[in-house]
Amino acid sequence: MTDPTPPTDADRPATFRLVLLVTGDAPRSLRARSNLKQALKTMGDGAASHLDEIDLIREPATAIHYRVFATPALLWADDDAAVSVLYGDLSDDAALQRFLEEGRALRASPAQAERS
Amino acid sequence: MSQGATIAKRTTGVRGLDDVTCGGLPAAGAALVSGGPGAGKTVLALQIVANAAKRGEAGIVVAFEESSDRLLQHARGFAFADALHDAERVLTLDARPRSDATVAGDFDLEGLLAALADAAARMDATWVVLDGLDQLLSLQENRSQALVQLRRLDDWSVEQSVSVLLTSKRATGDQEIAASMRGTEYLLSTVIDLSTTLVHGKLNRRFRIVKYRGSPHVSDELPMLLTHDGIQLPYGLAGDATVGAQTRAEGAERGVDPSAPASSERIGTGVPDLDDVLAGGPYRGSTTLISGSPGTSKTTLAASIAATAAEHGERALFVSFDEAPPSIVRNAASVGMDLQRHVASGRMRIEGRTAWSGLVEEHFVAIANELAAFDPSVLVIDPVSALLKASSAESAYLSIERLLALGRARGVTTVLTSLGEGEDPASEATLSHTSTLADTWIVLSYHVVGGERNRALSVVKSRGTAHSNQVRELILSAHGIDLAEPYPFGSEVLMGTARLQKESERAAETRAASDQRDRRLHDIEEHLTAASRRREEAVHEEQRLHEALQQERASDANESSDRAHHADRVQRRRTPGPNPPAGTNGESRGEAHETYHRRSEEGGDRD
Repeated sequence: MTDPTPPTDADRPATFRLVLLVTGDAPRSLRARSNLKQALKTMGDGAASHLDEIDLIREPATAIHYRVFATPALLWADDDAAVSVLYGDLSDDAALQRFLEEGRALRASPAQAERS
Repeated sequence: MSQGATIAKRTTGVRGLDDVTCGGLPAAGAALVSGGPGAGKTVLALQIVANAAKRGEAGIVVAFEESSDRLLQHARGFAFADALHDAERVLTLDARPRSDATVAGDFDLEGLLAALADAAARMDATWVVLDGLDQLLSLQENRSQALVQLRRLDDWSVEQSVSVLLTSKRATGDQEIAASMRGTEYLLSTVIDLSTTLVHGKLNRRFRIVKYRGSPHVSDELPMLLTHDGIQLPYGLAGDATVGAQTRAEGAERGVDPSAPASSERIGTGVPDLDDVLAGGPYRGSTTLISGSPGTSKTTLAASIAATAAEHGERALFVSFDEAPPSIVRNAASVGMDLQRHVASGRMRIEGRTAWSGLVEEHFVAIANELAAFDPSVLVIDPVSALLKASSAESAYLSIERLLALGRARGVTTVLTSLGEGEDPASEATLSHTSTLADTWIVLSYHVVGGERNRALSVVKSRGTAHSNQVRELILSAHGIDLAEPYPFGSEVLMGTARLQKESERAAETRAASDQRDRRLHDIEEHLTAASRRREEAVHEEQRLHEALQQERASDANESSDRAHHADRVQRRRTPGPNPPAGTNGESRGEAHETYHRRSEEGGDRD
């Protein structure tokens, strides 16, 4: 049982993307959601189109798949695994900014392009 | 301490742990297992899950510190490892936080709880192990948030009715709990602390229930063993009552009731004279201590008791710390004791152990296991003083006490030998601790008199027995052990050559005395014979004299009548008439006078 079923959501493209893991309407999850939305708007490059929001209460297997158990958490991930993780309610703007930029750089890199 | 009032518990299956916790860990709620590196936290948690899996329950192990594969690999060294690979019952999750993980604000464990709730529901899991959760919580910038999360976790486990085990490390033995988990020990209602100490270079593991709200428990620090079988607490609850509790079920299986009245049956020692001294031998189920200097034949005497049991078809377990089993068999054979026969027939088992090679607790467990497996009626530990050499963070005497309690509960007659240091009788006092536990205490010693050593045996005490207090000489020969007849001489008891010497002296004296008596008798008899001979002679003499006297008297009478005739004749011749003539006065008067005088003389004689 160590290999939980990977997410099979048909809407989710098998590409490198931003994943926000939340748990229902938990206060920190709500805060993270709005903090992220705010940051993406500020960056204003349409990164929001690559955002997947997953509610672990409805899809608990996702936590096991990505091996991320602290919530809320923001991931740069592809279908196989999380590439980088930012834990917390994203209230630290600077840290969030850094995380988003690093991921964008990874997505632009040729290695990442091959993978997707 | 009413069991009914305590919280619901889940058995751990860890030997001793269920005893000290009076039934296990909370069936619903989180328990913290803290400890320094290598204290056995993870092993304990994995063992509990493995035991649950063996019972058909299910468990989830979440590894925050190392990969789940690595965790299972570590467990491979233990006997319970296979149960962890039962995918039906055990789910291992790799939850190591990424090394490059960053944090932006507060986070919680809701994702973890969601995943666990899902898996637990699917598997019907009863145990959840969160190994090294502090790794994740340490990422939390706001430390107070970590405590909030742990409280949430505790509440969750109560809601879900699962037993959660949290492990948390401490840097060193006496340091505080990991910073990210600080305060957990106050928050959670069940906290177990594992620690290690080095005693004489040997690692000693300790176990302590720091707290267990809502349940009676043993709060003492207890020795803990980590072996191939995993973790065990050899002593269970502290004290005899508990060891009894541990073995009560086993005892019931064997038909032995530890609370049964003490046996009045005596078992033989194989030395008839010693049995006499002990009024029949030690009581069944009692403890006998045989102490003495090296070479006083403690082992031989102990072996004799074991062999006697085997002789009667019972089983005897001989645990030897000093000698290898073959040499015990050989040495016993030299005094006419055939142990090999009993070993071959399976009635005797000789276990060679080296005291220094293990902890006192390890020896305890090994002997306890042997007792359970072999089920002997006689247990010999030779010498029990060797245990004092083994490493332990607590007094070896406690182990000895527990071992004795264990034996007593099983109805085993225990024989301990102990090395007394030196020949100083005062050294017996160093054994005083063990000796108070013994029902019978036999002291073997040397008596050095007249340039030789002789083995001596005395019974210092024997509870419930009117034993002899005489020091007896112990004689070893090819025919076995024997006690010489006590040979008191004045205020001493003689032994060895002195005894033989005295015995022959005494014999010579006796012989001389009897000779003298014979001689005296003979003398008296002779005197008597002589006396009676003399008496006979005297009687003869008397008779002869008597006769002589008669004769004499008879002859005297004749003679006096002759004389009277003669005097008459003379008278008549001198005085022809009746009157004498006046003319012849002078001469005739003189003659007359003379005659008269002679008559009166003769008359006196006659009277």
